[in-house]
Amino acid sequence: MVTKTLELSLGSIIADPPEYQTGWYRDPISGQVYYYDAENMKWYIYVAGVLQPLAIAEQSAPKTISVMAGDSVKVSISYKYTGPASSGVEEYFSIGYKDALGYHPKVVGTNSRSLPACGTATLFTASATLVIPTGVGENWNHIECKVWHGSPEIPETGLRYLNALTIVGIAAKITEFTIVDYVKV
Amino acid sequence: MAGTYTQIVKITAPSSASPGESVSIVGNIKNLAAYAIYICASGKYDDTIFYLSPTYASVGAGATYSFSGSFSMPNKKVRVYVWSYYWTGSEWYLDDEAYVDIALAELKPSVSQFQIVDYVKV
Repeated sequence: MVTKTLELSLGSIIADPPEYQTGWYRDPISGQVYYYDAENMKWYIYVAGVLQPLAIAEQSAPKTISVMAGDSVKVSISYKYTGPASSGVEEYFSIGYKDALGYHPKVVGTNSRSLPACGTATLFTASATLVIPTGVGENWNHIECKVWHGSPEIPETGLRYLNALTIVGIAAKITEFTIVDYVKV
Repeated sequence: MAGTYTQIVKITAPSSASPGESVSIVGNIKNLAAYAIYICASGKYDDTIFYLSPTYASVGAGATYSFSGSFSMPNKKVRVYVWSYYWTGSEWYLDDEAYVDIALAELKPSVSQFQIVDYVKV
C-alpha cells in the first residue's frame, strides 16, 4: 500500500479530484488515512480496518461568482445511480457557511424524484435555482449538493464547493472618494 | 437430450443478473448429421422471444456453432430457453431445446460520480 500525503492541511478532506489519482492519502494534520476512487470520484475514510464512504466530499470551487441579495443562482448536478427502484429520493441544493462546527446551509432547494431500477450505472441530472435572500451573510460562500433519502434509502452522496460565491453589496460602502477640485470663484 | 440433427451442447449465461442488466446468452449447437446443414436458433425468457445471431449458419458435419443474443433482465428470476432449428429445404424445423435458470441479483442502492456540473447567476 502506497500512502501519499495530502497537499492541503485540513481538518476534513478537501480535494480537487482532477489532481488526485486513485490511491491512499494521509491528512498530515490528523494522520487520518483516506482512499480516493478516481473513477467514481469518491473519497473513503479508513476506520478500524474498514473503508467507509465519505458522504460529502469537499473541494475548492472551480470558479467564484459574485452575488447579492435578490440574485438567483442556478445549480446543476449530475450523478450515476445503480440499484433498485427508489421513490422519494431527494436532490438537495444549498448555499451556506462553515465554521468550527461544520457546514450550515442557509438557502436550500430540493427536488423529489423516483429513480428507476438501474442494473448499470445510469446518469441522472438535476438543477435548482436558489434565491439569495435579504439578510444574506457575508460568509455564505459555499455550495453543497447531495442526493439522499428515498425508499429504499440511498446512501447520502454529495459534494461541497468551498468559496463558490462572493457575497457583495451587504455593507454600505463608498469607494474612490476624491476631492475633485477646489478653485476661487 | 439431442434433437434429430442438432444438439444444444451448451448454454453460456450468467447465473444471476440485476434488473435492467443486459444478459448475454450463447448457445453452442452441434450438427449431428453426417453432412452440412443450415442451423438457426432462437430463445425465450419470461414469455418473450429473442433472436440469436447469426440468423442462420451452414454447419459442417459434427461441427459446433455458436449463436448469441441478449435481453434485458426483468425484475424477477427467469428461465431462458434456447431452441435449435435445421432447414429441411422448405422450412425451419424445431429440433432441440435446452434451458438455463438465471436468478435475480439483489441490487444495493449506490451513487457514484456525483458532480456539481455548474452554478451560474440567472
